[in-house]
Amino acid sequence: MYICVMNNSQLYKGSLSLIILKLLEENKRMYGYEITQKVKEQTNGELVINEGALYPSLHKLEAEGLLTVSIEHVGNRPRKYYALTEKGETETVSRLEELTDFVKHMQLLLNPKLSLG
Amino acid sequence: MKRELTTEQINRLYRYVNDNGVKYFDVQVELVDHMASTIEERLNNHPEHSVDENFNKVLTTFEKYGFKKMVKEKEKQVARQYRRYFWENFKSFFSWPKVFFTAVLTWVLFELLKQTSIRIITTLYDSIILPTFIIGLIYAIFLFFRNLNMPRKLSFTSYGMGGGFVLINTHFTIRCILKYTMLGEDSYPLLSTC
Repeated sequence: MYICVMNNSQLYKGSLSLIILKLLEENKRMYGYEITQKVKEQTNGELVINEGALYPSLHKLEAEGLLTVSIEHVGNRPRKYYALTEKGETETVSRLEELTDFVKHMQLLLNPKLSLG
Repeated sequence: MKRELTTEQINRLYRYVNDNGVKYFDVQVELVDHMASTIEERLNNHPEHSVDENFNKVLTTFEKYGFKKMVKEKEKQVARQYRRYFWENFKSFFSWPKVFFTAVLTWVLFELLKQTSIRIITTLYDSIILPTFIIGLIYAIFLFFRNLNMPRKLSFTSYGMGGGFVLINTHFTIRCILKYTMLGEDSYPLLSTC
């Protein structure tokens, strides 16, 4: 099994905020542990986000005004939930578009002989 | 049956993160919840291990990432958030009805000051504006000590201790303006041509 520790890979580190934004867009509101579990589940355990990378990234997005937080009591402890703000929603759409373009261009550059001509 | 941590065990985690330099309650909440969820998952998946064994295992993995670094990063982000709020508010003064009222009120103040003698302005300053600043300063000092004595600190309220100094500076700036622009005359020297 291939496990990518986020801290060591610049490429993944750069995409971490986008992963968070995309997950929150799909799930409305999530807490930190849930995000790590969801990523593990969706990538069949190939991608593991560690806490040392996740929380700074969440705090950064919060400071940028893309996320809002709420604290709720679950069981015998408080839990902090993150959700997208309006600004966060539009930012997610534009960042996803940017990534799609990037992937398209990279594919063209890395596999230039795909055309049938 | 799904196993959950007891309140006592949760408190143990709070003490642990607090002892490791995480002083902000809002950061403690998410870290403790994360650790507790990880421990609970381990307890359910490996019931053969004791609670203490699972605790130690999870605590060592968390320690590896460094709490201090996380707190430092959080402080940096809170500072960014403050700057963002400041600029948003600052910019909002230049938005439509506000910019109009600012201009009108500035003009009213200008006209009033033009016709008022310097003695009245100094009296006005000493009897109204200065006490207001002093009250503001006392409030800033109160906030400072309240934050110092709060058992649970929040990252957002712990920021911005410089408020009191801003007030003191404003006071001296106004004093200097009064002293050097009026030069003891009955009206502003700069306005004598108006």
